[in-house]
Amino acid sequence: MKNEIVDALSERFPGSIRGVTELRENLTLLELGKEDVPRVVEYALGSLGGTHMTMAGTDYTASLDQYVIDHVLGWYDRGLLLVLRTRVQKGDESFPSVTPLAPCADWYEREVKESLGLTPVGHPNPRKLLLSDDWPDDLFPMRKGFKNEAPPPLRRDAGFTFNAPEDAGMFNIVPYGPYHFAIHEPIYFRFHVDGERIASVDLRAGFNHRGLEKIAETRMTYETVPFIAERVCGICGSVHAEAYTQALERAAGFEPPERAKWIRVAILEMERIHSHLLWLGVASHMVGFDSGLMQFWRVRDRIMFLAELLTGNRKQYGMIVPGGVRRDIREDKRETALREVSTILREYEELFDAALRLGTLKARLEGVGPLSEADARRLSVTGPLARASGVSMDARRDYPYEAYGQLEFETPVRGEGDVLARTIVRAYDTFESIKLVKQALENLPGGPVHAPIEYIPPDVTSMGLVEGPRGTDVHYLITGGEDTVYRWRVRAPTYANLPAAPLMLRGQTLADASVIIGSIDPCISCAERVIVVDEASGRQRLVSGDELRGWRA
Amino acid sequence: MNVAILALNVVLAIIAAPLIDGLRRVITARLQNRAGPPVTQSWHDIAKLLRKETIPPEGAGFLVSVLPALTLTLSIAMFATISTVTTQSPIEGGGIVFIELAILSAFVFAAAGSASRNPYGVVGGSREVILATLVEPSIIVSLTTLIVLRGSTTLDDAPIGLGFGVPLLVAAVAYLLSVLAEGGRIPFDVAEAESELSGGPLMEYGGPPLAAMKLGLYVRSLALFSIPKFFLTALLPPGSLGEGLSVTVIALYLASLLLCIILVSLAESLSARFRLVEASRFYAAVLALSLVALVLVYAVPGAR
Amino acid sequence: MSGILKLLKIGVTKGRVTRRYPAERTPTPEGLRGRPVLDFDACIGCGGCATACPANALTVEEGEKTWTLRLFYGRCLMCGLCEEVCPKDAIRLSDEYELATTNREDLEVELQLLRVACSGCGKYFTTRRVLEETAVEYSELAGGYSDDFRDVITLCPDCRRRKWGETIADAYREARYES
Repeated sequence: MKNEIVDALSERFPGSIRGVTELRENLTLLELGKEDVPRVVEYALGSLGGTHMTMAGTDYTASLDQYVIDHVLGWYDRGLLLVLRTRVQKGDESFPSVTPLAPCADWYEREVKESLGLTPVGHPNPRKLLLSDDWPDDLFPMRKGFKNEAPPPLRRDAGFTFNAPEDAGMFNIVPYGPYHFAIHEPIYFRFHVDGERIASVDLRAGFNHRGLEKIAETRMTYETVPFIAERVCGICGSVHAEAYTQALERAAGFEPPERAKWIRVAILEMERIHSHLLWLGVASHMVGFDSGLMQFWRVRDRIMFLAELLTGNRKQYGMIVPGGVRRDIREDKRETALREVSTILREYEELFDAALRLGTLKARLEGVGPLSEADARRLSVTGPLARASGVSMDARRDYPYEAYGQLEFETPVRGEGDVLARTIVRAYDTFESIKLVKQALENLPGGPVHAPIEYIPPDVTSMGLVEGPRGTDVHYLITGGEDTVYRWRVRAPTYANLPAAPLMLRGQTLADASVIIGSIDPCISCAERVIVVDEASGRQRLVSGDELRGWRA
Repeated sequence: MNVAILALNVVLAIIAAPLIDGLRRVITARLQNRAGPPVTQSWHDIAKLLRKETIPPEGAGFLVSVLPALTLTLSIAMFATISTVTTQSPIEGGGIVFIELAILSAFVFAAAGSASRNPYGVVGGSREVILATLVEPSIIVSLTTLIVLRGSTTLDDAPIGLGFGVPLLVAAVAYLLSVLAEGGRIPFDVAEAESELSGGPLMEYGGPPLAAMKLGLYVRSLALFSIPKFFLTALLPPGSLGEGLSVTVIALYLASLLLCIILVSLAESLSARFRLVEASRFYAAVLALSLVALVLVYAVPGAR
Repeated sequence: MSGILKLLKIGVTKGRVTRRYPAERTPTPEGLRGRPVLDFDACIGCGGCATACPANALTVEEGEKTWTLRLFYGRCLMCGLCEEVCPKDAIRLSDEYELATTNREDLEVELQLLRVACSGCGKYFTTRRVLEETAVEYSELAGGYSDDFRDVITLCPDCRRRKWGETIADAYREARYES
C-alpha cells in the first residue's frame, strides 16, 4: 500500500529523508538528520494530523559510537506507524529540541537528557523528570556503561530553592501530594489558589520510579520480561505484558495460536472491566459519593473472583507470555465464567443506571475540568481522556491485534470534554468490554494455547500497541542477542495524559481538583518506570521556578 | 439551676454522643451492603486517640492547644440549657443560650482549622465559616419559631397542649433540614471533605486534642438532634407529665433521635458531596422555609 | 429522585457482602496461585527452578559438599514458573496466601542436598540425587548397570571428557592395528 504519509513528508522536506525502510507492514522507518527532526515532527503532528506515540533514546556507543533517538508517530485512522530515527554522535551529545514546536515531546526529551545525557537544545524546561534532585548530574543510568550495582553517590548540596512566580504573593499555596487521601500513588501537584479557585498548577513526578527498563536490559530474559512488565502497574498489568509480547512476537514474525489470541482478548477485557469499575468507585469517592465507591467495588469484586478462577490470582494474572498464554480455560470454568459475566452485567447495569440518575453526582461532574479537542490533539492525549474530548482513537479498532479484528465492539466518543463525559465514556467502555468478554468466551476456537518461538533475530526494532483502560500503551522494543532485550521503552497512556492536568485544573475550584486529576485515571506507576530509584534522603524536595514557569501550559 | 439534672444531662451526653455516631455508621453501612462497625466503634476511636501523644503543628500558636478543649466545653454546655430524659431542664430560659452556643461552637471549630496554619485547615476553616453563616440563621429562625409557639424560652418538656398545625409542622421540617447540615456528613461535609481537603480543620490535630474535637462534634450533633423532641412533647396535654424522669419523654426522645440519625444516614448514602455553591443554594431554601414557618405563626390565628 | 430511590433499592435488597474474616474466609477457587511448597524427597537439586525464577526468590548456593536451595517468600511472585520447569514436581504452588508475619525467618525456606565426589579427581560436582537420576536413565541405554558403567557415570564432566578422549584414542589405535 502506498504510504501517503511518507510521500507527503518527502514532498515537504526534500533531501531531509535519508532513508526509508519498511520494518513491517504499516511500520515504516525514516532516517533523518537531527537538525531536521523538529520541523518534520511538527508538520507530521500538525498538518498531517498524526499522534505522537513515544520517543526513545538508545545507547549504541559500544558498537556504533552513537546514540539513536526514535520518535514514533501514529495515524490511527490509517493504522500506520512511523519511526523517525536520528543519530547523535558520541562526543556531541546534544540535539535540537522538538518541544518548542510540538509540546507533547516535552517529557520524553527531559527523560533522554537525565537518563542518557543527551541535551535537548532549546527545551524550555529541561529539569529532572523522574530522577530525584539529589541524583548526580553526571551519572546517566540508561547508558550501557552504567552498572546498576550500588547506590550512586548522592549530591549532598541538593537542597531546595523554591522560586515563586512573580505574582505569587497574591495566592495561597496548597500542596496536593505527595501524600493525599485522594490520590493513590505519590505525586506532587502544587496549586496556587485564590480562595477556592486554582490560579496555577505545578507538577513534580518521579516518586514511583523503579528502573524497570534497566532491569529488563540487564537482568531479565525474553521469557521473564512479561513478569516485570505486568508489575509496571497494579491495575493494567496485562496490558503491559501484552504490549511487550506483541512487540517481541512481531520482531520474530511469530503468530500465536488462535485459541491463545482469543484468551488474551478475554484477559485484557476482563482487566478493562476491573479497571473501569475501580475508577468509577474512586471517582465517586472523590466527589463524596461514598456509596458509589462501595457499590462499584462490590461489583468489581466479582470480576476479581473471575480472574482468580481463570488465572490463579485476582490481579497480576501471569497469563500473557511470548508464544501464547500460560493456562488454558477448561470447559467447566468457561461456563462458570460466562454465568459470572452475565451476573456482572446485570449488577453493573443496575448500578450505573442508579448512579447516573443521581442529581447530586451529575452536578459534581458536569462542566468540570474541561479539555478542548484542540488541546487534546496538541498534547497527543489518549484513551477515554481523548475520546471524551471528541478524538476518536482506539488501538483495538485502528491497529487491530490478537482477535479484535474478528470481534464486534463499539468505541464510544463524546464531545463535551468535561469530567462527566469521561465518566460516560468509561462507563460505556465497560459495557463494550463485557460484550467482548462474552464474545471471546463463547467463541473460543480449539487448539493449543502456546507454541514455541523458534528464533528471535537480534537488532530488530518493533512496536507493540495495546488499548489499555487508560489509553494506548506503546511498547518500543529493540531485540538484543543472548535472549535479552537491547532496549525496551514503556510509554504508558498516563505518560501522555498527565501533562494535560495543569491545563484542565486552571480556573477550577479546589473542591474539583481531586476529581479532575482523577478523571485522567492516572496510573502514576505506569508513567515512571525508567531507571533506578535511589533512597529517599529524607529532605523535602520542591520544584524550582523554572519548572513552575514551564508548566504554565 | 438544677445541678442534679445538669449532671445527668452532661453524663448522658458524653456517653450517648459517640453511640449515636456509631448508630449512624451502622445504618449507613447497611445501606451500602456492608456490615459496618460495631455500634460502640466511636467510643473505641476516642479511647484510642486518648492513648496517643499530642504533637502540635509547627508554627501554630497556643490556640491549637486551647481550641479543641473549648469546642468540647461549648458543646457540653449546650446540655445545660435543655431537658433530655427529665421534664425539667437545668436552667430556665435556656433557649437563647442554646442558639448562641450552637453558633459559637461552629465558629470555634472553624478557628481551630485556621489556627493550625495548614493550608487545608485554613481552607476548611473558611468553608466552615461560610457555611455557618448560611446555616445558623435557619436554626435560629426555626428555634425561634419553636420558642414562640411554646410561649417560653425554656427548653424543657412542659406539656402545653399545643394544637398540631401547619406552622409547627413547617417549623419542624425546616429545623430538621438545617440540622442535617450540622452533622458534618455527606452531602454537607464541605468543610471536612476528606477526599478534597484531607479532613479540613481536623487535619492537623491528633491524639487527645483530636479526641476532644471529635467528641465535641458528636456532642454538638446530639444536642441539635435533641430539639425535635420538643416539637412533640409540646403537643401533649397539660399536666400529663410529672416532674423528673419520664418514660414518655424518654420514648419521644429516642424516637426523635432515631429519626434524625436515619435522615442523616440516608442523606449520607444517597448523594454526592455538595460544593459551596450547591450547599449555599440548599441552605438559602431552608432559610426561606423557616422564615415561612415563623411568619405563619403570627399569620395563622390560634397557632400560639 | 429516581436515582436516589434506585440506589436505596440496591442498598436494601443486595444483602451484606462483609465477611467476618478470619472466622469466615472467602472460598478460593481451584488453581489459585499461592505459595510454592518444596517437596524435599522429590527434589534432585537440578537448580532449574532458580534459573527460571524471575524475581530471584529461589537461589542456589553450591558449597563444597552441599547444594542449598533457598526460597525467600518475600520476593516470590507466585508466578509458577518454578513449578512449570521442575522435572520432578518437587515444587508446587499451593493455595496458601496468608503469609503475613513479623518475623523474616518465617519466610525463608532452605533445602539442602549432599553432593558427591568424582571417582576420578575427587572434586565434588553434583548432588547425589542428580547422579542417581542420571544413572537410572542412562543405565538402560548402556545395557545395564555394570561396573564399567558405574565407573564412568561417577566421573565429573572434566574427567568424563578425558575418559571419552581416551576411549576414542584406544579405538583408533585398535583400528590401526587391525588394518
